[in-house]
Amino acid sequence: MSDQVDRKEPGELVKAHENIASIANEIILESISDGVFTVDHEWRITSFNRAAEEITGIPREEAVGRFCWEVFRSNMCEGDCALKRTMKEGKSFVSSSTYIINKEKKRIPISVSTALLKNADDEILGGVETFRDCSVVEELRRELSGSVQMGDMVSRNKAMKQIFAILDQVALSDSAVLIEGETGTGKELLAKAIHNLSDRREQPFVGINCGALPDTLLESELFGYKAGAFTGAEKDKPGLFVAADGGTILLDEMGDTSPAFQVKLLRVLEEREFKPLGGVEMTRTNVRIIAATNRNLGQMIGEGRFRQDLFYRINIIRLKLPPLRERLEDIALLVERFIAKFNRLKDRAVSGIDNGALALLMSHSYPGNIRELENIIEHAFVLCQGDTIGVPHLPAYLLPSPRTANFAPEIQPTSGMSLDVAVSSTEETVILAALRRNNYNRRAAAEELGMHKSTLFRKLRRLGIELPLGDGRSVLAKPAR
Amino acid sequence: MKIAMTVWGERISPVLDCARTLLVAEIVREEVVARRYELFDARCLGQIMQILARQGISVLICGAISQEPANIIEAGGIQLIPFLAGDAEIILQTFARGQAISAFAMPGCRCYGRCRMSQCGSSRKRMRT
Repeated sequence: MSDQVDRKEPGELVKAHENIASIANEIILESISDGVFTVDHEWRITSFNRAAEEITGIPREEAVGRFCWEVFRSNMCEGDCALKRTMKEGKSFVSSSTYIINKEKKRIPISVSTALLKNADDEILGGVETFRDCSVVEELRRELSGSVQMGDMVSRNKAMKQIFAILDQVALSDSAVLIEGETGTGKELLAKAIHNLSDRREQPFVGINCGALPDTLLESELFGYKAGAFTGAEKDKPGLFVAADGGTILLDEMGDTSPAFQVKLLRVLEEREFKPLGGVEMTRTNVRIIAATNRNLGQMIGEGRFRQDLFYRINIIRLKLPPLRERLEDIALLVERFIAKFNRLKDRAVSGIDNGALALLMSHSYPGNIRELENIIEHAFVLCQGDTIGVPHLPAYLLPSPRTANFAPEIQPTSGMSLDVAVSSTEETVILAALRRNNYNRRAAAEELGMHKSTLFRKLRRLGIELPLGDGRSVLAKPAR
Repeated sequence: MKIAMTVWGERISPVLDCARTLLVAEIVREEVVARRYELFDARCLGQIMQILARQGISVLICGAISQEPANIIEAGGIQLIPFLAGDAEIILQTFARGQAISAFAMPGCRCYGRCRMSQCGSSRKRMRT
């Protein structure tokens, strides 16, 4: 019996082996994590594997038969297409770095390899392109280098979009820029974005926190010193104005500098030169100044705490970053980005945040702004062992106390929730957040919400919201003494 | 009204972020009455925004686009209709006649009317409302 099975004609054996190889190839192609597609001579896709579907987000049945550039959507397609070069020159290319754009408008960094597709008779059937998702590598690289692109600053907020809209022109202008914003709003990130978009991007970007250093140390850091300038100064040390030459310098917390230092800085801005500590000769400098502050410099001028002439020097272009409490529409977006970031950094697979936890985040006032939100998500990653961040994973100070206006109620999962209930729930969240921001002053909250205060009273009654005893009315009602 | 399309030869350019040619068309009473081509460097978004503003363009039709340029273009008050593919002239004529251009959506971008964010199904008449 076994003899009969083993005794096959050579032709049959070859055919059987070819079938097995074909099946094996198909299984291998479907199981690897690299995307693979093939095209014919007219650039139409003839096969598209599972990983290609995952990386591009395009189902195979929609991809096959379409032009490769409509599916692949890479920055190489229009100009320097690797597959086109392979087809033209008849040789393979390995690991060209590029990016594709998925339907969510995200750039996905990839590496691409291309080869000719031939049959057993060595006839060219078309081309094959293999690509690998490099998002994780790129994210880690960005974390390590600390470099930033404008694309890293995400927002749906109108004020932020206005800043994005002019950032290109601001970057190319080479004028001094003043960035205002509370702590944690992303002033340094914005300064780096301006630098990276400017013609100075190949030169250094240097930042210094002026508020953290006493005058003498600040001067030696910025202007450098000569050997013998003070005890312990054994050799010359160039300052940051030299280190950043040709590039950009960020002077953070500018409002915290002393009047004496402001005079010295004004001279650098006016004359474009400075004298290192202990030096006798002036040193020329070519740096772009970006100043940042969390204070109201205009008010400080009135109080005599900031020089008006320096203010006019740095206030050529002023960008004001809104605090996170005025960018509530960005919270979900930022949470999503931080979850993606910590998933990569901590090798986790948290898929998202539930509606209750998100509602709680929406009702917080964020004195620490985006940095605080990032810390909250990092905290949640420590406590969350499942795949969804929930209320118990958030820091205790965010957790609800008994149902008063101190806590904005959760929006419960949307499944099974009628539209009316969802609207009321959201309305309640927004009203409570506005009340908290206005220290429970109903008139101020009503103004912020764009409604009359009697409308607000009616809504509070209808929603059954109880306000705390100290509701802020007395504070505003009394004239200032 | 004036509209613009990023083009690559006779087709919509696959990716706006690295497109080089802008087709500017003027539509009067459902007819395309004028066309002109503008060259630009998509790496400098200020350039494309200047062209759109100078020409008084209100709608930009393009292929794939990443978030950053999309934000800038929309912040400039331009109606963006992204993720379209195919013959530029046919799409232009279809749009001029006020017909839906959802059939030209790139693969994976068809919303079949379910996706509120996407503008795959945009038509000129619909946008007027």
